[in-house]
Amino acid sequence: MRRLLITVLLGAASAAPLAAQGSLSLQGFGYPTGQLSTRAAATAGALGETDPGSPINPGALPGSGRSIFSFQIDPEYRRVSINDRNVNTTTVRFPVISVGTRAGARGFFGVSFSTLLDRTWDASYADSVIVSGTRVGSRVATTVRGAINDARVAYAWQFNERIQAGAAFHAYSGANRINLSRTFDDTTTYGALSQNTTLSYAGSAVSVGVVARAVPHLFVAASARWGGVMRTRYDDSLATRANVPNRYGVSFTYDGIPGSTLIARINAEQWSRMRTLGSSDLEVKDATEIALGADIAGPKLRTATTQVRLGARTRTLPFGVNGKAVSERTLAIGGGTTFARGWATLDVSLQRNSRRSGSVTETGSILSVGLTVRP
Amino acid sequence: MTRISPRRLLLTVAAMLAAAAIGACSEQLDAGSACPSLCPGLSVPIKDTTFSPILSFDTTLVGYPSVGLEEGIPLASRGDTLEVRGVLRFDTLSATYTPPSDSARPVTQVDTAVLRMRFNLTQSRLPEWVRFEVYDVDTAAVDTDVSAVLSLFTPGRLVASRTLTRAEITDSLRIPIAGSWLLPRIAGAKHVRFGLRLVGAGPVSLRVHTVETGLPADLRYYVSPDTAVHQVVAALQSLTPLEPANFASDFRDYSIAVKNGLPAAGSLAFTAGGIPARRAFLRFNVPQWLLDSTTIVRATLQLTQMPQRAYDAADTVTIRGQAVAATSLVTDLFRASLLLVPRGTFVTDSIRVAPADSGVRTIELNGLLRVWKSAPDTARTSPQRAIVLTQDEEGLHGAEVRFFNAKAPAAVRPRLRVSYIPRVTFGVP
Repeated sequence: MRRLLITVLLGAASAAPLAAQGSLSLQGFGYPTGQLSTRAAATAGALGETDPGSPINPGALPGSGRSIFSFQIDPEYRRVSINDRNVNTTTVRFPVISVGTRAGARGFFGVSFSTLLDRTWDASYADSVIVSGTRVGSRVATTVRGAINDARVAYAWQFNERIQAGAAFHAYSGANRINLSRTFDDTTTYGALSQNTTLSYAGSAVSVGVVARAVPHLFVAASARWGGVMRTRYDDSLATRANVPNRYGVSFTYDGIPGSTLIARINAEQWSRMRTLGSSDLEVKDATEIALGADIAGPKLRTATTQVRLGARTRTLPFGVNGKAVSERTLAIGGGTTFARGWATLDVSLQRNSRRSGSVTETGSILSVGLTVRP
Repeated sequence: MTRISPRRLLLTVAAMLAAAAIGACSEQLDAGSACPSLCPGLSVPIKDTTFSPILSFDTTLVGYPSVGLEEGIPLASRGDTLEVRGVLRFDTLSATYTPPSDSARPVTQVDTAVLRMRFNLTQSRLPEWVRFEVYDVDTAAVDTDVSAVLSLFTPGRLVASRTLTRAEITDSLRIPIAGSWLLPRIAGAKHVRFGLRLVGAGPVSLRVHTVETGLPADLRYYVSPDTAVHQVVAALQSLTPLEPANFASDFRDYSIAVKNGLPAAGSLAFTAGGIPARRAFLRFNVPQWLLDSTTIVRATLQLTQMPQRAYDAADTVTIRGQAVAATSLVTDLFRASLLLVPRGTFVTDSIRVAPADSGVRTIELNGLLRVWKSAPDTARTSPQRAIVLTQDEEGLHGAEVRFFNAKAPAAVRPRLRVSYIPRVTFGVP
């Protein structure tokens, strides 16, 4: 456990989420990473309800075995196409870190830290404004760093070999540190603006989940999260108040094919409960995502087993732009292999996201590398 | 219990950290090209407002530059409009001299004495002929008693004069001084103080260099027919006033404005420039909320010029605003008007006008308001929220520029136009 703790701290120390803006995916309070482990991301989120490394369904925790530690790195390479211009950005996220251990013969205790909404971006562009009746050239630069994070404490119980269930408490926290500057071309006549603010978040939620084998070779996993009050503070002053979005999800997993599983998942997230957290201009939309995936036994590399994973997903992003919703379609591929006599797993996935809102398109390729240790 | 191979685990972790490092190093966060279309909320409102009245106090102060700081003596004789004279002091002429390889001897003769001056002919007015008159203006009156000095410009005290045609005037002049006049003053260790007066066939003016310009006048003479004895070159020197000690050097050379025929500016104007030069002292009453709660983008002081159509009315001069560095502890306005932040600091622009012009003139004060923002008005160490309007070549040019003051009708009184950005709650999407 001590070794795990040290590793967690090392991972957390490097967890400086960075991202980019001027994009479709980073509108509003940011991009919903999906809180997916690398393994689940390789199936475009289809494995989310049953994957113990993804802090979605607390009922899935006993699938970890004795104990689990996992963390991952998710760089995203993004291209926005707008008005025949292409803008390329690169960002790095560390979206999920989780730790868990068996408590007794049937219980399992887990703690995880994940990114609910990543809002880290820079934007700078030339602009002109009218000052005292004169149009003046200037440059606007904005830097936003931070995210809304989900710290989850979960406990699960394995009733028997057919059913396991869990419950969790979520604490949402985080901050966006924002700098806005405008510098004028004529610096002798016009003074520059530079304003720093911090927008911090605090909220809570509870979630429950279950994983059950309904009939032979068919597992059903379902989870729900009920959000409590969420508040924002603007430079230490209470700014807005809303609710953590509720979430409902269910997935069906078929393992009738030896060594392989096929998964279908549907997930609904009520982002509109956050509406009053932002300004009146904030465009918030509830999002439903549908994901299909497969986790197939791959070739053996010496003594190591491998898995090949595929997936596809469609969803609507919670925050629109210019009055239009942003849709996202994802194709994912990945794989994993065990090593250290099966005690550790290295997973890799590549998600290809296509986003669209009106005539603006965006593609994002998220490479995820995750390490899971089950000591 | 099976143990994980530490080496393989380490390699895996290292690979992941390397991937993170590579990703982070190549991070490209700026997507500004997609803005502002995809960057809603980045625009911030710039508000524009005009404060009038903005001055809590304004006045015109006269007497610049102070004695000893003149960048020249603007000799002038322009009839009823302007007359300026000068004074040169040679208070330390030695009563002895020392021939080579000999002991000191008293001065018993003075030969070929000349007063040498150098001119700055910029903006000079030279009629067909010009006469330079040198008077003996030595007096026991206190040094600041200008009228006592002026009363000595009489024919009986005329020491020398020289008349030149306009073509003969170059950048230097030698006026012969009679040795018979100079010798008893040298031998008696008396002050030699010359008063300079300019007379011409018409209005005339030119500038005599001073100690401050680096080309001061000097007095030259021979005290011996022996060619081995060098010419005496006496520099300007003043022995009075005795207190304070450093004031004496200020009186080495200075100017006296005898007459200035400009009509008074009246109660509705402040002025800058002229001879003797004037400075406008403007104290501001800037709303505290503007300084505390906004980002000031531009602040423009708008002054309405009052036309002045006396002499030099068509000459273009430069008026500058200078921030007052004096704190509120300095209550003497004249002293405060001398304690200024160097030109071009905080107030970077200037006004180029002719006195006869009219209309709105502007001075940018954005930098200064930012200074005032960081220095609370209540702090005793903070500079006064004031500026002084000065003229370039202060005290050398007769042009005087006038502006309507805070007592003038609202349409023409000083105003401050400010463009500012209020504290915005930026960042809430």
